[in-house]
Amino acid sequence: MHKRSLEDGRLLELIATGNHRAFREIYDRYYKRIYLYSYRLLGEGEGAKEVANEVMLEIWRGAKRFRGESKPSTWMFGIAVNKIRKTIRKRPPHHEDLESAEKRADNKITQDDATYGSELREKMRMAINRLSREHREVLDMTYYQGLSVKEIAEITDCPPNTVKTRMFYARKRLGGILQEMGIGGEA
Amino acid sequence: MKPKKGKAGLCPEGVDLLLPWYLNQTLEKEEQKAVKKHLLSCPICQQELAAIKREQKLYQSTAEEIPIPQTFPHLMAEIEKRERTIWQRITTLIPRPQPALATALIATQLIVIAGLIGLLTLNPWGAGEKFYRTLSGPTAIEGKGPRLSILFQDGVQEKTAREVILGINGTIVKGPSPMGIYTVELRSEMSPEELQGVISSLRQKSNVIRFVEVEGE
Repeated sequence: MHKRSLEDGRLLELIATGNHRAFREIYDRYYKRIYLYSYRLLGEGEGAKEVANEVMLEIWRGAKRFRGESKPSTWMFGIAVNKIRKTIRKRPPHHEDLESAEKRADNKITQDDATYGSELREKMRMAINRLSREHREVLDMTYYQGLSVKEIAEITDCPPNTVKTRMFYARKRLGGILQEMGIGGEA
Repeated sequence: MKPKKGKAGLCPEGVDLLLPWYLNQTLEKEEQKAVKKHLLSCPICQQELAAIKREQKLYQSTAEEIPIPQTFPHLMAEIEKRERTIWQRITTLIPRPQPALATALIATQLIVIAGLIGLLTLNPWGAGEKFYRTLSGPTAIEGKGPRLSILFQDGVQEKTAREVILGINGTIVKGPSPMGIYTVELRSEMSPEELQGVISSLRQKSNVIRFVEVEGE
């Protein structure tokens, strides 16, 4: 975590007064995180971009509503979680079967003469896509966003113990999928 | 730390459930210390921690090839567009000022106000004065004209009495009293000679008037 000249909460206060610089700072700090989080949850870039932009706009418009009752990051991820859930609900069911998706990935790797590392990453992405939304949420918030149990519980609106067990089962499921893909021992 | 032995988890003390957050260092200080201590003696948790580390590293690496779009300029343009739209919506609700109409309205208001002030100042109806005036005549009830006390003959009708009074250009200011006496005021600019002339003419009408005198004499 880099040293921050201004705390996130103070930046939100400034955004509430219409300060563009403060908004730029929050954008630099959070856009990537929110975009990647959305990307993993939605499994594609265009929707993730749309969600991340919507979250940023909501931060701009709603900064006045931030009361400091939670951490700014929790508040912002809360917005992201809600937007992603809405997007997922609106989506038509995904028709591509997993076998063809895996074949497509295998072909891509062969065609690109990719390294073993990139193959692993590709498989991992595919495995993540096969997880449920709840499992993806908890994995991403823990592994990538570095959030605490309490923060995740607050964002996802469930008890801390549920977060712990959900993470356990998410890992178990992810391990199972990776094993099916033949890379169980690597992860 | 309150290790629990539940259905989930591999470690008999359930500590493995906390390992992901031990790794990202977001546990409470006491919990962090307790997990660290537990790890020294629990091979299950040691193995799990190693697996979590690998898993996390691989998980994080998936972000490496994902290009991050640069949307800030687009976002700012969007914000400005939305704010402009909101402002435009508000301004359309307010009628645009039309200089000619606005000037005419202001001028009308000023004229009305000036008229009201004028009326109050000039007081043409005598509002606030002590006495009232009839709309039909300018004669003051308590003017400065000479007054006559007139007693009509018995049986003289009111109509006849009024015709007589009107004939001398007088105004009944009092009466008839219980005795039947009318007090009549004459024009203020009347000279003593004229007054005597009026009295004489009235006295000549003895069939109608019993007596006539200047009031107070």
